[in-house]
Amino acid sequence: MTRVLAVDDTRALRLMLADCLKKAGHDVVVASDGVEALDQLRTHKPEIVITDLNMPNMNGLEFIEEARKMPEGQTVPILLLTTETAQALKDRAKQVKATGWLTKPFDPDQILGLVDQLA
Amino acid sequence: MLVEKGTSTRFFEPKINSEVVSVLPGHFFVTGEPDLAISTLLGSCVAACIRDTRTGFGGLNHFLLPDADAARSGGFSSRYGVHAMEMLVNEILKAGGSREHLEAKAFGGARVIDTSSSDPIGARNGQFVRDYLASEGISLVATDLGGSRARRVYYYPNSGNVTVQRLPLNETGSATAHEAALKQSMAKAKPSGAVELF
Repeated sequence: MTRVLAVDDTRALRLMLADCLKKAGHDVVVASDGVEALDQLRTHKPEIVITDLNMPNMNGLEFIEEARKMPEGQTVPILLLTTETAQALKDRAKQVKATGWLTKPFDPDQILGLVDQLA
Repeated sequence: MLVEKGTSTRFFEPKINSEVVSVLPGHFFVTGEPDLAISTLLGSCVAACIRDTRTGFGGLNHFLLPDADAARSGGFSSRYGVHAMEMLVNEILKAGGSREHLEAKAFGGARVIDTSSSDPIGARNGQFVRDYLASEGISLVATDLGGSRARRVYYYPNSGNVTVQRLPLNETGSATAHEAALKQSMAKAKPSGAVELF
């Protein structure tokens, strides 16, 4: 069982992601933007984070940049799960030390495989 | 890709005296251009027309849910619909929109493909779009869902106005053929995006 933090501003996506992870036996905490995600990271110390990019208040890239400055976020794998495909954004993701980039729509098997592989 | 941004092929439509961009099943299109209409032909598929009421930027998508249990909230088989909605909403937010100023109208969901089924795909599509908008807190201000006729929708995101033409039964075939093709291609497609580990 892995403790996963799932971050997305779209409620339906949070539900789908949490549902797929819980069914596989993982422990899931959720957040709806980067600010909430930083709080959850501090409180729950997840073993892997899956985050959306476009979100209000604090987007996924800003979240990762801040998370990497925190003891709880320095080494935790953080995957971006997004509808975006632009190379400039992927380059920025590498710069802020994201672990990987997944393009939506997501495949549950793919997500579960990555959680097992990385966490 | 199961949901693609529509191409910007535009033409003048004398029926509504306006420039039009036509959106095919499985696509979406957004614009902030005043007086430009976005059009699509709907049978059992649905189109969500969404705009930011302050910026006048918005667009429509055109999608269907192929699976029988797809309308269940949070069910993974609703992924096609969730993805189609997220693609559209993200483009509006990226253009300076905000969630609290989004306004939606929804059309389509007619009973045209499986007229004898006890689980009509059109009703399922209509229910999904209502549930999704309610769940995301996006206000649904007008609908024309259900029935047995295909519809031609013209949406003007800048003003929020919509013109809906119900097609006669003998012209419904064209909408049905496009949607059957989409359903078939979705059944074959593996709904997953690319993975890159840095």
